[in-house]
Amino acid sequence: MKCLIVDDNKMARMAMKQLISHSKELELVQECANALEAYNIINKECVNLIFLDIEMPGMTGLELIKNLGSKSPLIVFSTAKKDYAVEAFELNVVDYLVKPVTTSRFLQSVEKAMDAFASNKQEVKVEEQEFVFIKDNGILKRINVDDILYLEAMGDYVKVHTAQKFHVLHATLKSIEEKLPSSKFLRVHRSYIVSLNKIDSIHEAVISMPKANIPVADTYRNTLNKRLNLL
Amino acid sequence: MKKQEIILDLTYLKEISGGDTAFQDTIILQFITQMPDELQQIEMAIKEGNMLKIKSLAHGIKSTVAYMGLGEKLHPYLQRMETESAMNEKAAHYNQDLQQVKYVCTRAVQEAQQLIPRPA
Repeated sequence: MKCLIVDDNKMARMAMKQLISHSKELELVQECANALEAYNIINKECVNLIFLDIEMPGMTGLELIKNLGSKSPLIVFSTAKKDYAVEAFELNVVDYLVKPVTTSRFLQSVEKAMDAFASNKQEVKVEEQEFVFIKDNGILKRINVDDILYLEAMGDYVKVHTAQKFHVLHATLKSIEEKLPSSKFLRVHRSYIVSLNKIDSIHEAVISMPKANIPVADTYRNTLNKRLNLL
Repeated sequence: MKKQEIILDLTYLKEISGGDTAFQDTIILQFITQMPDELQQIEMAIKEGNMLKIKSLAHGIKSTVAYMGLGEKLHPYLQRMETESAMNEKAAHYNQDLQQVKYVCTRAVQEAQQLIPRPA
């Protein structure tokens, strides 16, 4: 795993570098004395994990994560204070280390990061899957994920709508939702999942899709709004 | 004459160094350079009444001293400086706390200098 140290205290960076040298799993890309320098490196180079201080002059560690958004690598906080633990874990960080960090505590943290790294890789694999097979009248048919417009629940069955036709499956909408890439599909109603790429327009609580209008239930409206790439 | 108590505690440094004495020396040298500079900066920030700087420097010194085993000794003073400056308290215990920190750190730097072999 390629890692980065971000800390404004030189002694802290030196100690962290020494700890990193104990791990065969880690390769140090660079050490940064401030968050802005780290932001620029992360945008240019492959970094999988950051050992990140929180309180730094200029941009703080917490602000760095927020600014990186979905581009953020895995984060292990390394700080002199315990006060930020709650906020840090809300940001889904791998671990929270309090300085000075012992070797055994550090290695525990690396293990956690390795697990998170492996599971992220697996998710990416599923996300990249381009097709699914569905059982339609006893025949297994291949459907390109990108051809699916939306899915509609009908009692014990689900209709999978593509631009050309629809397929009826004996399944629940929930079981199918779990198998589809979450980056491309979104539940918008108890009875509907839509392909985000296929939305033409949204007016009030109705989504216009090619060939159909899909209602958006109140409970899903916030999630939908967050997923729209609104300029 | 009573011998002065040793205040540096290098247990942590030895632990993370895994026996690498060159690394221990590098950190000790860094402490010798960095500590007086940080003390000077915080003293200046207190004189100027720059709360933001006091907070940031007190926080940074907490890390610096922790690596040399001085964390427990100095944490109460540095923590109070950090808290009071965060609350923007002008008339606080800064000078009093700084004296304690300075006394311990100056002695620590002197001890650290004895640990590093001088060039022949």
